[in-house]
Amino acid sequence: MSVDKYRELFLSEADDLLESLESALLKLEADPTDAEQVAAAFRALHTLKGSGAMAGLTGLAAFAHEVEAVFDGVRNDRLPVTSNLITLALAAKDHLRDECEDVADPQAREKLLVEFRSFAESSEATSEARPAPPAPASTKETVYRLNLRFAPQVFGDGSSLLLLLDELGDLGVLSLQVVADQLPAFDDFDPERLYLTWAGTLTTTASMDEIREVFLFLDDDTGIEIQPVAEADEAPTSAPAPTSSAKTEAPPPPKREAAARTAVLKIPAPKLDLMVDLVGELVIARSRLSAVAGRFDDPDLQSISEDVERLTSELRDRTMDLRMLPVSSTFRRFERLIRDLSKALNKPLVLSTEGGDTELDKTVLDRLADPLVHLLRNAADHGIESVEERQARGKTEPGTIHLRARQTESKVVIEVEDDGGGLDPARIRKKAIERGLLTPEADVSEQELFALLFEPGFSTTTEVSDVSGRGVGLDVVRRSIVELNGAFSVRSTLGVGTTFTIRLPLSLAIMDGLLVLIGGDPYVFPLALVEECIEPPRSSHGGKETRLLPVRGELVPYLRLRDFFRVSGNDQVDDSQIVITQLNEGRFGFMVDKVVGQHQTVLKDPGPIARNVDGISGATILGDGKVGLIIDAPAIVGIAD
Amino acid sequence: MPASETARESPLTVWRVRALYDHLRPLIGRDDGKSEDDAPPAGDGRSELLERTADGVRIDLTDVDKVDMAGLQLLWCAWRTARTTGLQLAINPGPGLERAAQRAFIPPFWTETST
Repeated sequence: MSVDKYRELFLSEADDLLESLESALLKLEADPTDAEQVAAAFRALHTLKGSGAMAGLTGLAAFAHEVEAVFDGVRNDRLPVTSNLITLALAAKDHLRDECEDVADPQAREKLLVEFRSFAESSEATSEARPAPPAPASTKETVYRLNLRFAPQVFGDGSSLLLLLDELGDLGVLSLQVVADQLPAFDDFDPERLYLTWAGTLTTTASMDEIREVFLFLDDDTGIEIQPVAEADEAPTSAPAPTSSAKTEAPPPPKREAAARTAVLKIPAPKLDLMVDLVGELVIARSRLSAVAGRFDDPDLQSISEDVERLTSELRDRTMDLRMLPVSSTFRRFERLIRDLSKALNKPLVLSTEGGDTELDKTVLDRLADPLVHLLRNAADHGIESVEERQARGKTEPGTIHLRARQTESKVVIEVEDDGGGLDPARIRKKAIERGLLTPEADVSEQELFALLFEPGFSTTTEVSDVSGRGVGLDVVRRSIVELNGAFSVRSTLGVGTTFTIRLPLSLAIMDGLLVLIGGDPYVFPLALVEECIEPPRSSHGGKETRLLPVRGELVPYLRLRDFFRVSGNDQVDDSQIVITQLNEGRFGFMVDKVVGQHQTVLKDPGPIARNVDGISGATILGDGKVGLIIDAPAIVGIAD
Repeated sequence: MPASETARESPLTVWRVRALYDHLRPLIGRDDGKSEDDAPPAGDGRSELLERTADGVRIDLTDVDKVDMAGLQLLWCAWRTARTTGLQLAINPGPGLERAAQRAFIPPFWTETST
């Protein structure tokens, strides 16, 4: 395997390792006595060091080695877990990410190392209770790359491979991956022949000869390859490099992590995107086949069409499933964000997350991260009150931000709720009048006032901080959510708290839509926005202005899409219905000529002509080859207002 | 102690894998003309680990305290093949299997359903 290939593998693995490191550090901050988290942080750093060296990232490996040495001191009770150490280690984690992305600042690196050394020296000097540090270690650790291809007949030699691997592990830190690509199907399997091989690294102070000795009793060791790939720095005197005995004390051992990784196959996202595109084309072709088969009275053709439909549906579901990731992968990052905000704002904050196993398409999830950061920053800075205000209101001292996710039938709902001071309608109204968004005599509901927060540049805060308050935020959040074919709303109670709710489709590639006809042409509503379809009142067919429709005791505004899209032809349509949607501003209805039904919509670029048309967000191709336009409901409401 | 219990407690190592393989092959392998009648008679020390279930096969290693690399490889191969053929293969691990897999860097494949 080339170094480039190792680097590619390492970088894909490094994300997980850095995430594990951050998670362990945050847990350690909450409970500095948690030995399991100390071991987890140590393991992550150790693997980053070893794998980084193997991938040729010597700067990263050397840096990780120094930080690891400090955590070895913590592990051996020579150094304490302090808030300062956690802050330093989190900064080190950020630096390691920069090293991975090749954007690391050498000065920042040196500064961090000086701070780590200073921490280690001062902590050891001031710790009277702790035993003196052990004698300086004079040995060097070396990372060896291993390729273990035992002879196929090794079982008959009387050698125990498990004992051999144990012995190898006793020499240092062994990180192996099993390779099973030669393992045949059961019929062709010979139970007395070895098909598995192993590849990985051993980080050890042992010499090449000592490693070779492990394999001394093999009849055939020609497939055993051992190569030194990097020599780690001299272990600092204050924190010797880990030994095999120290390694075994850390629960659970690194081996299990290595084994678990082999169960996951990492595929570059572009390859998956291409596959999703092809499946989308297949879904369209299937619809065409189905339409053609319906025109002929041929049982064979019908049968083939049904088989293709069934298989395509299954393929579509399985393929889309490949792109689904649990939202916890994004939520985890926010623990650090809230921790840093808490320190920056000098407010005790707690982040509580629920529904982390709810899954979303990777593209949606990636594009959701920034809007959520905006909302969390707003909640921390403006939502949660100061300690004094909370005490005066009889609230608990740490402000709590809840981040929840749940899946409904075709949507994922994400809520960001804080138990802060809530939105002040009077203040929003005053600001809106000052900015000319409202006249002083305007009669608007609380919900309509809250919707003004989504106007560009609208902010009620009087202070601009590093965290938020520049009026850039909620409009960006709304735009991002709308671009994801989602909806965004807010509810709040003064003095109690605020909840922002995001409703998203499960995927951006293939979407559940509601197919409707307007003037004989097909249009599609994102089903995530649709609440229900109802018969319009008899008097609603004429007139072009927005009207109100009573829906179970609530007046819902609606407009005729025939008028909006200036569709000519017969105004009187017997099958017309009103599609009720849930948008930021509340419920809104759209009258269409006919509701055809639910439709699996493969999203396509609408092309240069339709791309900038008001009220259209995209296009799809229907089974009969016609192009259906996807309705941008929030934009239409904005224009109608 | 009943004979079957003695058999269950004996290790699943290279000396025993051939017998287990011969019992498993008619159940797990592809349809190549073999049938369960081709399996060796019970009582050779390994068929006791197997149990036909309503929708597949269960291998019960609960009391097997030692599994070596040959046993591990056999079980992994059976599980992988069952995945491709659609057979429901359930493996009840014992301390022997769990320990061996961890030492061999093999993932705990038995925790996933085979189909």
